[in-house]
Amino acid sequence: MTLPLWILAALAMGIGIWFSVSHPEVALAPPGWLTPLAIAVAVAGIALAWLVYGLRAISADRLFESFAWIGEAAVERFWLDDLFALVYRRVILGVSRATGWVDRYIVDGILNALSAWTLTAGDRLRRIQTGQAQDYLYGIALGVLLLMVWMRWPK
Amino acid sequence: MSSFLASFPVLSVITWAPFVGAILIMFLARRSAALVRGLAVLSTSVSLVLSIAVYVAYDREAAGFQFYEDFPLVPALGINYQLGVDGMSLLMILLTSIIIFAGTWASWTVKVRSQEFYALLLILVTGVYGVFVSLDLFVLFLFYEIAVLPMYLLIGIWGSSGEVRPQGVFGWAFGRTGVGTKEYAAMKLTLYLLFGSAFILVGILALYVAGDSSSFSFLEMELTQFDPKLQSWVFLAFYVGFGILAGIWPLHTWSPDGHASAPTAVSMLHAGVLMKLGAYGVVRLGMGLLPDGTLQWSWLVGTIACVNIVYGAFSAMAQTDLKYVIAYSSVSHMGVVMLGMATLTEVGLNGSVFQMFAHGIMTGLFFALVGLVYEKSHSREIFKMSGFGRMMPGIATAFTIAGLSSLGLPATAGFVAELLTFLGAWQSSHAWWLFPGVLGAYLTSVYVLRVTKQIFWGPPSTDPHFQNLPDARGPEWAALWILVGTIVLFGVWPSLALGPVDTATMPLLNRLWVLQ
Amino acid sequence: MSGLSVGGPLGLELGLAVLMLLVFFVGLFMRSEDKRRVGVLSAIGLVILFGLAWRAEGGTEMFRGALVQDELALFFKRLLILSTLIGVLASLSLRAVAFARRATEYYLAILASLLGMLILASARDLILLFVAFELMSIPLYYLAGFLKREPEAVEAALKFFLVGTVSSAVLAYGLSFIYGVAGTTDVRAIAAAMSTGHPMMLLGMLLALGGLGFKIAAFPFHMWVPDTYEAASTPFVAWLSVAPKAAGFVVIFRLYLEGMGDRVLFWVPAAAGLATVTIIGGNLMAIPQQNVKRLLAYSGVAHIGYMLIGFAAVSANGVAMMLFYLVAYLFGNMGAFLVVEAVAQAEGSEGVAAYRGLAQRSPILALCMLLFLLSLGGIPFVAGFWAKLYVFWAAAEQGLYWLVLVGAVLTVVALFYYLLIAKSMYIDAPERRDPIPVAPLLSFCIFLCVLGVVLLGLYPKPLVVAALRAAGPLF
Repeated sequence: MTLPLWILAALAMGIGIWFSVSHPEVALAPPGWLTPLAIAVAVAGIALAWLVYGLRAISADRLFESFAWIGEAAVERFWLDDLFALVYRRVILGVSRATGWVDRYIVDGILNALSAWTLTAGDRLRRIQTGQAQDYLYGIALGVLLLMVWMRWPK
Repeated sequence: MSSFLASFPVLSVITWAPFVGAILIMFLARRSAALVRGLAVLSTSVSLVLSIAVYVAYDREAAGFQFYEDFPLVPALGINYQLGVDGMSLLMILLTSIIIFAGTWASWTVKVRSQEFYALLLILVTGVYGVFVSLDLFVLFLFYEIAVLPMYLLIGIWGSSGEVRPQGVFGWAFGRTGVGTKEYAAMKLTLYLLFGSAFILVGILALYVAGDSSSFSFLEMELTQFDPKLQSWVFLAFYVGFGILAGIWPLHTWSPDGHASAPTAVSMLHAGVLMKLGAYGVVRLGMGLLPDGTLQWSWLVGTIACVNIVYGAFSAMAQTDLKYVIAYSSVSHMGVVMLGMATLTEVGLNGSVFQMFAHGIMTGLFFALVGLVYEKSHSREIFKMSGFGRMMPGIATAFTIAGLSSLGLPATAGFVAELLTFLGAWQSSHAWWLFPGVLGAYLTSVYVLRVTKQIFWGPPSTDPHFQNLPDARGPEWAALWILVGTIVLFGVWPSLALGPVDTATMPLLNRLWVLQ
Repeated sequence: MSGLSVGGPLGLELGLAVLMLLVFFVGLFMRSEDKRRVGVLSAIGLVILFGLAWRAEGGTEMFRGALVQDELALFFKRLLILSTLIGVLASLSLRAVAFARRATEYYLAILASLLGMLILASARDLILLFVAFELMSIPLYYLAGFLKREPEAVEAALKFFLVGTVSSAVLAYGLSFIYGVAGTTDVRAIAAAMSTGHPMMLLGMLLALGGLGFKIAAFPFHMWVPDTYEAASTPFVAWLSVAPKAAGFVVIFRLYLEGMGDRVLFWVPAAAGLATVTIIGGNLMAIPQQNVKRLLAYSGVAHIGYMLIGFAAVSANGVAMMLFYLVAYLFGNMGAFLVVEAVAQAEGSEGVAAYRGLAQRSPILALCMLLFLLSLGGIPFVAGFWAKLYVFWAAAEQGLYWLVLVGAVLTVVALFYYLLIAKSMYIDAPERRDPIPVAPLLSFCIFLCVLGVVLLGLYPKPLVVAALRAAGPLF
């Protein structure tokens, strides 16, 4: 399993060294102190890790205690995962639940209400059909009256 | 080949072949289920093959409307049977052919009254083809109505009902209208879409009258300069009328219930193609004929599109029924389509048309898969299913690919569509539209991956119902392969689609830019 | 005298009168109890008349213009005779004993009413108009209550009669004012009288409109319709839903449109208002109906509203599209009623529930009903689609976009209740599996109507051309 790792490491180092040696892109050249500094920090980190975990010359636990709250925060992964989970569960899922509810019960609800009102309107309107002949005659009278009012109105 | 294709009315054949198939099915295939399916596959294959032929034979240099057909219907009123395709409708025809062909295979297991099912489906498809190829507004409207009405019977007879408990201040209306049943979904869809068509009709008649009442021909109206005030309200009429079909917020609520209650092929066709009819209508009639109106109202189209994208994505996330997730996802992705056209940029409009195609294929694939999962597990409850990937790896892979296209992963068609649209948004006069768009893409990945992981890639379910479920079998593979292949093909080779589409969108936008 | 020849204005009416006499005497001297052969005789006579109507030519006048046979009159006469023919043929399938024993009176009444309608189509004189109007109406009251042993029929006939007579009185009152201002009973003088602006003229015209509104069943003059349609025998109702309304419309054309020229625009508010309330009222009231006959009654009211949209366009196109609509409505509505009769004869019920699973029991009958419903609803491939679109087009030409929108939106409401019937037929499961037996004559009539609906839906052009030609003389 380490063979792929060795190959990838070799490739990465090879390309990096070749780039820095052949200076292909002058425009992207970093300030002179950056590369030596980066290499120095990396080497120092590797050295420290070897000392603490390889040679066990320095106690990992004492190191951990000396960092106090930073160490504990690191164990909690600086609460970043918790933040993501919180945003996901509370905010995103919460908003989505609210949106889903609004869509089904308010937006669609309005539509259902409109259609229910139309059904009711039909139901109510049909009750003018009372079955009494007198009312039918009133209907005619009303109709003629409305026609007259409607046509006379602009005058 | 173009001379061969030009020698017969190829567009009419594409449009009417399914209808002929439907008639044959109704009269010949009384007893034999195999004959029904054979005729359906045959007629859709004819349309598919011819669509691909027309697609390839289309002359991108010449652009404009080709394969023109003209036949007078009622000359006294200026109604003519005029057909033609340009780059945009070409892609839509291809989309329709692919989806209905796949849909015919996906409906293989419809047992109850399959003869009528296939007949109605094919009649519906004729209507869809007709809208895309019509160059006469009256005939377009006629085909639109044909595309809507069979939905009522298709959903009402072969659909599925669910249960919805009334809540909220409008809860009293839920019992009155029968929310949750397939009859409710069917009636709501049909009436809502026909309501939209009322507005379209008024708009068409207004343009006819304003154009000196000589004809309903799109080509002639394109040359007419309509009064800007007229354009303003007619554009709105078209936007509302076609927008209802495209699923613009808040007029989209026919869509979730309609798609969820409908049988598989009907959902594939509806979310995959019919909603695109709406967007196509806005582009072709709204933007194509009414440049002043477009400029005036593009802010509204784009803003509502942003609402669609984000609102649809959030709603999709909240669903526990798999079909509803995909239905709301369609609402969200149609927002991307509408956003692209509202940007009034070349890259945006191209993205919009490409998204019509990409999303059409993708959602067709989704619904086909959901149909398969439901058929095998008899459940659509997302959080009860898990670990299906082990039992049905083929379906799981197809579902994942569809999901990746949905969230816009490169190498899928969805990526190209969304990238172009977002670029267009940034270039438009309302650059802020980019942010809801991208937010929508992010939210899409959240709910798509969540659902995919939950159903397919998690630990196997302990529920006794979900043991030893079979993978896709025989004809079921056909639909999946075709659709997955298309997604990947157009994802790695987008110019296949963008080539012709661009020849159509450029002239359209030039008319608009001249006015700006 | 040229008028007495077939081509003249009275040719068809005289032929009909001869037929009536024949029917009367044959029925009188027939010895058997079953006198339905009289109906067959009537049908044959009507077929001959229909043929003659096609051979007749327009452009003749009689009695100094009191009777005119123009293209409009011919169009209506052909429509009326066709409608009556279908009604008579369908009536022959009725099984109640009364229809056999008293067939002579039944068919005689129908023919008498038709005679009134035919004269009405040609009349251009106020008195002639009124007399023909009554000749048309009175047999209808009798026919509505034909089944005199059924209390509902008697009640419906009585209401029909009361409302009808009052409406006739209102009409006569209005006509009297018109005469008062115009100074003559010639309809052609109305145009000049209107331009004097005399308020009594307007009053007269509005009163007449109210009286006529009853006949065409516009809202709120329609209230007799549901009761009468529900209680009377269905083939008669099928004919009643078309022919008298058509006759009413031709009178409206003659009185309000003919020769008015530009002053016709005066009627637009009245027509638009009437159309709007009729469409809204008719459609809304149809929604809760469980009895299909009553539903079709209210939907018929709504259709009159759509025709009035064409009227509101007050143009030759508007009238032509109304004529097209009338023909489409004839086939769609009569067809639907005949299917109702078929189902009622087999199932004994006119409720929507009786249609459950009809598609699986009698697929052809269900398909016919579906085609009728789609035509009434205005869906493509059947006649009603073109009809609705044409009236909307005519109104849009005059700039009445709001009216078109109201009409188009209410079409959605109408489709709701039409689809409910379709749902019952196609989606619901049937109670029994056996097919519905349909009397052969009824099948024939249904088939005729389907033919009409489908042919017009696929090839509307000839009728459009004919309608435009018929509307020409008015303007």
